[in-house]
Amino acid sequence: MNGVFSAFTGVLDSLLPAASPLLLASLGALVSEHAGVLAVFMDGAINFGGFVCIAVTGATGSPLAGVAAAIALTVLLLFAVSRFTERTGANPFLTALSVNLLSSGATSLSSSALFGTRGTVALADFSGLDLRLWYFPASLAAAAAVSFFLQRTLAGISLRAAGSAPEALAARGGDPGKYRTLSWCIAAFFAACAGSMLTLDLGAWVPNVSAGRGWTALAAVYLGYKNPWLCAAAVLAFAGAEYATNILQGLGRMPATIILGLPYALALVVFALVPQRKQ
Amino acid sequence: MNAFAEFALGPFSSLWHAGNLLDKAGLLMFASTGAAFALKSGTFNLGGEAQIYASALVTAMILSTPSAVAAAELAGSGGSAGPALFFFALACALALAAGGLLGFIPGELKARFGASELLTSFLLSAALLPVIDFLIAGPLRDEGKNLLATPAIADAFRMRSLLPPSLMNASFFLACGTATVAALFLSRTRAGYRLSVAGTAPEFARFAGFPVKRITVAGMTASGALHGLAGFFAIVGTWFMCHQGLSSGMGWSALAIALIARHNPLAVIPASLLYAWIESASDIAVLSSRVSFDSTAIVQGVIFLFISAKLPIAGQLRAVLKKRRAR
Repeated sequence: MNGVFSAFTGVLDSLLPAASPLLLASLGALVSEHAGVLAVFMDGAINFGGFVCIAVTGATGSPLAGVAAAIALTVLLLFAVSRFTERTGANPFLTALSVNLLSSGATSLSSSALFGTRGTVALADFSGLDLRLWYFPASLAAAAAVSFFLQRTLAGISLRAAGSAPEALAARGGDPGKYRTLSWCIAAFFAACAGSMLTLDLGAWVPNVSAGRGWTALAAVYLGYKNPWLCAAAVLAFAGAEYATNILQGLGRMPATIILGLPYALALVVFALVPQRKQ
Repeated sequence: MNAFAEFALGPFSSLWHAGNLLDKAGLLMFASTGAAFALKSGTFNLGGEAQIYASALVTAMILSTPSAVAAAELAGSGGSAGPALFFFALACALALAAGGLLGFIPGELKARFGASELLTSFLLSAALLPVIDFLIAGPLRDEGKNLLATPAIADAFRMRSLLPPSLMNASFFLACGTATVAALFLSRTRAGYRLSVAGTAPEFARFAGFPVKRITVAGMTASGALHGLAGFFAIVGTWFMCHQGLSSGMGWSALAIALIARHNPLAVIPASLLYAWIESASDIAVLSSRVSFDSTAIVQGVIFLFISAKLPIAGQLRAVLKKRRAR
């Protein structure tokens, strides 16, 4: 009995920290979906935030500075893109998509210019943070905060109105565009946190470190019926599936390359089967 | 100024660069005609990447089966060219089918479940790319070579270069023809008219009794098939084997071109040439510079960022032009 219990806690020990970045990302996507502008930039923003975090941590020696810089720059980037989108009446899906492409180009350019490599950027003598235990509780606290924000605060309610009834919001003197921008800034904040968590955990940035998590996060939003707590449950299901495929890979039952595609396949199944808001 | 001239004229510095530019523009034309087709029918096809890649792999596999190789040998040694032509046509048909299927699936998911084709077409593509990578590096790899690629196709299946030593071949003209036919189809036929109306005014199309859902599926399928054509000619005209990462950004470029061309297949022809020119110029610039990076992604990103924006400068330009015309 004791053995079963320790095996179970062993699974949880690796599952919960692994699920945390995905949970953070899906919270960000959730807020943007409520504002009616789904953050399809999540994947690129995670990679971008992760890169900034490693670059600044490496330069200053302080992970805290790295995380702060990642958050600041990612939020600034998406604030600028959102303002641009609102001012010019551009299609928010296309401008969000452009963030993914620009992120991949910008990180490859900066890592080549700053570190002389297009591959892995590793922190020298970095022992890692001893915070793994806190990843999941912190992410759950974030889910609680998002839930409170959306349900109980005036800003959160207005933000949801910007998505579901923009005319009504405008009639009451609110500016839907402002709340859409706010939602992208919140999504960027969570993307930067998720990216920092991923890279600091590795002690390195690798191209596409998000490994599709930005897209699975979007799927988790729908699987969780746009509710933060159900999203957390959906994320745990995804993390469990990831854990299982890792075991399969370890057993040599499945080639590593194909596993790279599984998060996308999983998200595809969710999007095909779970009803969504009309685009 | 000098640096800019060097950048702009780089692609025309030699026959090699210029021919390759035309070849690249041709492949992009097939794919962006496909992207324009989807946009016209009111859908976004974000799965171009895998549609091109999968069709290229199918083409390379069909043309390196033992019977296709035997047919090519027969044609090469002065025998009948019939069997070789048969395999060539078969590969083309299957490439169209592979691309079409990958467009059909997201279209059908939208028609049946209301799933956004924006996300499903992208996710389907993203899930398949690693699988194709795996097939090329593993079971379908040419073991005799150091490349991560399928076996090279026989000489008889290769389209001749029209501007040696560059890769430019007849597929460029076929691409221009395909874009023209697509434009005529959309503007001159009843089916094309229905497709455009379903895309621009779905409410009206529904009111007029058009089968809007079926039209969506047809638009996505045709879009996928045209991407498949790009994959087919990438093998028989350009690379002669399917190597890992063959599609590398072509699907995104094609969508960018179709958006620049304002969904019009005829405008896709100059837009592809322009795009291929910018891409070749930045490729050459990056090759000769100290830093190496993914310049294609930046070009694509900038286009996606600005393409749907109503910039104040553009508005002023339009106003000035209107005034001139009024005079």
